[in-house]
Amino acid sequence: MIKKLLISTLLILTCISFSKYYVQDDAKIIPINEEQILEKIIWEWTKQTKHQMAIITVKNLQGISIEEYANKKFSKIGIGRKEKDDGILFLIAPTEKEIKIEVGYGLEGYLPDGLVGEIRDKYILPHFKKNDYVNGILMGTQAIILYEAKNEGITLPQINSGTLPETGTVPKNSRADMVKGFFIIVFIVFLLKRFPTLRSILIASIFYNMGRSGYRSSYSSFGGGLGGFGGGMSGGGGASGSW
Amino acid sequence: MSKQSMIILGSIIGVILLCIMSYINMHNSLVSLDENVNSAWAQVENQMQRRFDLIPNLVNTVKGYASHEKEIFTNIAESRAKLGGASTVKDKINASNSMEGALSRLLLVVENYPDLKANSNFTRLMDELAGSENRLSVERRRYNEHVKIFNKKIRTIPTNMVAKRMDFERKEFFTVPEVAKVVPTVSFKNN
Repeated sequence: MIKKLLISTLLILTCISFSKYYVQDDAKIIPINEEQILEKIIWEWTKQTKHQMAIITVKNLQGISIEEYANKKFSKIGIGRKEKDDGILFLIAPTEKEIKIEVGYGLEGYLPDGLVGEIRDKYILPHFKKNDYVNGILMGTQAIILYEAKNEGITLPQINSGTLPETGTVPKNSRADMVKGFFIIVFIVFLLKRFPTLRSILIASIFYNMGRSGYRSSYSSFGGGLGGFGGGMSGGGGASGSW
Repeated sequence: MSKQSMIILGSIIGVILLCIMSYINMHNSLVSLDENVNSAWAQVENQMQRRFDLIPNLVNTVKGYASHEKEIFTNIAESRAKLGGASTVKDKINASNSMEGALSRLLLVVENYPDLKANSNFTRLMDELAGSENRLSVERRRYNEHVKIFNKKIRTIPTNMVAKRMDFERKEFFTVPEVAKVVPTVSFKNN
């Protein structure tokens, strides 16, 4: 009984963590602390604007151009809300030394290609040329978000243009979130213990979803990974570059 | 009327109803596929227009540095006029491809002018142009996917019979000749 509960808790935990993250670091170039800072920056912006952004690093591009890869990945995970298409994808391929910042249809007005190119040249590539991926990604993400918010006329007091969050510290809010998350899990476990039917429904739905995601990933290599986005589309806007 | 003939009559009516229903079904699915192709094409045209609007700006900037490259400017002006005058899908595809060729020659020439490449205004324009090319290729791919589905549908049994009655013809794929495909990779590394 306890074993079963433990397993289902673990499953719930993975579900929650999967749907929360905006950063997917397959190339393993972002340390965990900086990853949390990025999550925090994006989350602050998402809270204000309802737009969504994903940062993805890949081991390699599987032989296709970064533009095509970014566009397919964007549609596959569906960054941004459906119909509004207000998502941004920041894709980094360290092996090919290429990046692409793909802007969804809905944000093209706030982030025109020229501006995205300027952000790339000013904030990202100078760091990347020195093999400093972390600062390039941090500065770039912050610049993208701040320019977008500024052009939309939204102020983000939590993220100041001059002061980058210090590396190596976990933002306070995310610690509070973790505590909150813990209590939610305890509550769910309690519920599951009290109501066996609920438990079997949950387990069944988890298995059902696992089956579905398996189908999706075999259907195309672009599926899987990040979750919880709204289903937005992009049409190839933004800028790409290499270093 | 005997019971037997009632059954026969009933089943005939049933079969006719079934035929009508499936005809309506096929008709509607063809119409929606046709609309998919049309809206995908509208997106392609949007992106063509976007590039079309960028060109005067780009040409003016380049002219400031390379005014003597007259042939290229004439080429661009001609293909731009061609695109403006094109009305059918096929004409537009051809005009767009010749525009692609003219632009790629312009980008090659630009390599010879370091001052121009260092111009920040020009860099932004090149970003916009690269974005435009990429958008166009995305919409082109989506359009071709819809065309493929549509063309398959109107040629396979039984929808082909319905399609014939509705005068649906095969849609044109947006193919880019190999020459034009290679060149417009706009690369500009900051050195």
